[in-house]
Amino acid sequence: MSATDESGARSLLDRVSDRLLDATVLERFGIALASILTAILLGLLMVAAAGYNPIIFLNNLIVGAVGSERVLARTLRISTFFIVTGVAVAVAFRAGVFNIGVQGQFVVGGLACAMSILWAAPYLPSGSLGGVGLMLIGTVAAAVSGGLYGAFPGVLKAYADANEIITTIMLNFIAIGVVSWLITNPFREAGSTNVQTEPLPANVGLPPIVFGESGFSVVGLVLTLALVAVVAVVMTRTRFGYDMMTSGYQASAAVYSGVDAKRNVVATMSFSGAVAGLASALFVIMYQGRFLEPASIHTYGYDAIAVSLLAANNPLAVVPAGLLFGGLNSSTSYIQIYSDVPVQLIDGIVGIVILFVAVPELFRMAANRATTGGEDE
Amino acid sequence: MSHRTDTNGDCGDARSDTSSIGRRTFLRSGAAAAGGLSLAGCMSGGGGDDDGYEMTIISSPAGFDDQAFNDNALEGLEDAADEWDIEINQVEETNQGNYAERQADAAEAGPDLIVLVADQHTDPLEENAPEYSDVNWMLINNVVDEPNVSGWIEMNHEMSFLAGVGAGTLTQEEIEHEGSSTNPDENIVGFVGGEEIPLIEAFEVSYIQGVEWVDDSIEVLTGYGGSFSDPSGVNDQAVSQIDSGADIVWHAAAAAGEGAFQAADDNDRFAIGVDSDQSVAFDSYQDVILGSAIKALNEATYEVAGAVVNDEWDSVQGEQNLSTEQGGIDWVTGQAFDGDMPDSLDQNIQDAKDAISNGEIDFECGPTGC
Repeated sequence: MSATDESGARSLLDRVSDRLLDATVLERFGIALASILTAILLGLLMVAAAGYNPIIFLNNLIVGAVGSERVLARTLRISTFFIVTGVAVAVAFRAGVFNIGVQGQFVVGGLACAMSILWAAPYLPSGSLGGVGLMLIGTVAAAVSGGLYGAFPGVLKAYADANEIITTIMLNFIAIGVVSWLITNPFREAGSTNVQTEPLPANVGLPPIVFGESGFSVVGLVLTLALVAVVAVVMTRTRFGYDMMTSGYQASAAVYSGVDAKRNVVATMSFSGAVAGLASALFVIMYQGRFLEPASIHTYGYDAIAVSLLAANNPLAVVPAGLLFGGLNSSTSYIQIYSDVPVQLIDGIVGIVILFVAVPELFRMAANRATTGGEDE
Repeated sequence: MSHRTDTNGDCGDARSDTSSIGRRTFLRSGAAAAGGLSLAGCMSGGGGDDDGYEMTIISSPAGFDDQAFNDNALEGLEDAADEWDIEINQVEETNQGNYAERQADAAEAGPDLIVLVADQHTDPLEENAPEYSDVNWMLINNVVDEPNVSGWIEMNHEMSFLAGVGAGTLTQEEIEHEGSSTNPDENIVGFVGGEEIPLIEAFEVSYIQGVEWVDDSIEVLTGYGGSFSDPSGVNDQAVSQIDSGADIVWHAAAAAGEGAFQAADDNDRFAIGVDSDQSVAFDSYQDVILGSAIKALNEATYEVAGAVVNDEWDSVQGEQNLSTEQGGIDWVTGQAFDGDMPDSLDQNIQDAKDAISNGEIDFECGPTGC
């Protein structure tokens, strides 16, 4: 009896995993949408059980993400940060390198961006042309320093066999500690007791198209989407990307086909770190207008891991995943202000949504791995 | 103003079934499970249909439940809510980079008062105060020169000095309580800060000044735990100071200060609390908390809330001080030690307070930095 039950369950599991493997992109999108709705329904039940009005909660959840120009600008702004950091993670994960250090690369890149702009500012004209020049300098500085900070654990992995998961996590703490010290001491704004750099010059900043002075510019979104497209093309249409992808699918096959595994690891980490640096340049130039105490910056680099997993490490799919994270994040602050629901409960519900959306994808990835190489049909 | 109309629109469908249960009564009655659909939160905004007051408090990076700074400020608002018809909305925000937006979010809802805990709110408020000029703002630890801002400077250096006087006095005395004891033969005390930022460095300097005012042969060990919310770093620092001979440790680490109490408890020594009477807030450690250097932030938030309710904003507008002279800064002996302290403590604390009030102490640091 129990034996048949078990085999019945197993064949059901097989069928489900087969079905998930066969799912088209459209179906997977549908599954994700259904998961979100189920999770929100569950969340609303929890809200009701805790004694709050679920209708108001739902209302706030939606209004807080897209309800007005202000919150929409906020949602899009946060989403761009999630998207770019998510792409940074996806690049590395795709290549089979587990870069958990996006937060550290983000922090190092952000400081480099702010400081290079501040240092270069006196040498460039103060008009908008000078502003563009400064932004280019800051962006390059962020990408290079983020890339170098990513390359370091890459070199350690390639040539010293150091596990990159451990080194990147530890380098996050080092980055936050060192940058925090730098901003507290030599780089602190003169006369301020707050831990932050001087503000960037007035000519640095993205033009406030559509959303005004909201810390979000449509230009930022366009640049973000352009970056996603470039990364997607690099990953799928260039030799460099092909080497990375094959290494991710099967390292030994990649080596057999002539990929230099060690160089590939370093290159992947540099690329990933550079994208993380770009995310930070966007954060500094579009939003903050300076750099501040890194310990008090949102953990975009860690959340990006979830964003990337949600997108099955596909740079293009990172865009909707980032928008979902951005919307939920934006709602969280709105609900906190407009209702009594404690922030812990809101975070819990956001967690449920993410879990529900991620599980089918994770299941699919696991099934994919389990079936790869095994006999099929 | 158009935003405000929007806000009411958001809540419009909710207003019909809104009961007027305020947040506190709501929590008090334990109605969380039974109360069902009463929603206290939807802001009444500018809708004049409600006589009550809406007050929002936004936390410092340490967050609420720190048993110190943030809770202390909140306590005053809650006292005010007991007296007047005030609904309190707590907003916890620990990312400094989000303060500008959180302030604007809170102001969009159109409350009668927004309390901003901590200096980190200063720069964003410089833009938000004129932008939301119909909202009253209370800023703690700094001032913004706008007619709708009440800025409260806490004389942290005076408070730190009193902590130093307390520690310096008691390390020379023989105190034994529930297994913990001082070592009167060796005069060493400790200081553990949260993050090593200018504000806390100023605490450290003034504390050392207080210790040396009692006796400049007393050695002060100092260290920083690296966080205002994670007690483990503070605990490590305090333990190592105690290992090196310190018998009393003062912390300036907000919620992370629990690590210092734990260190004293585990190693049979003592600690001193900060901001509020921490022998009450952390009553499981009351046997090791000799006393606390306090600032009556709750009185300040109560006063401002009262000024808003009574339409006396002018009385709190601009720079306000919490000082020893005005009675806002003081020393309180721990609840387990009340009445059992050597006379030298009361004497020294009183002398120190007099000296501070009379301007006889030459402070090296100000309230927020050196």
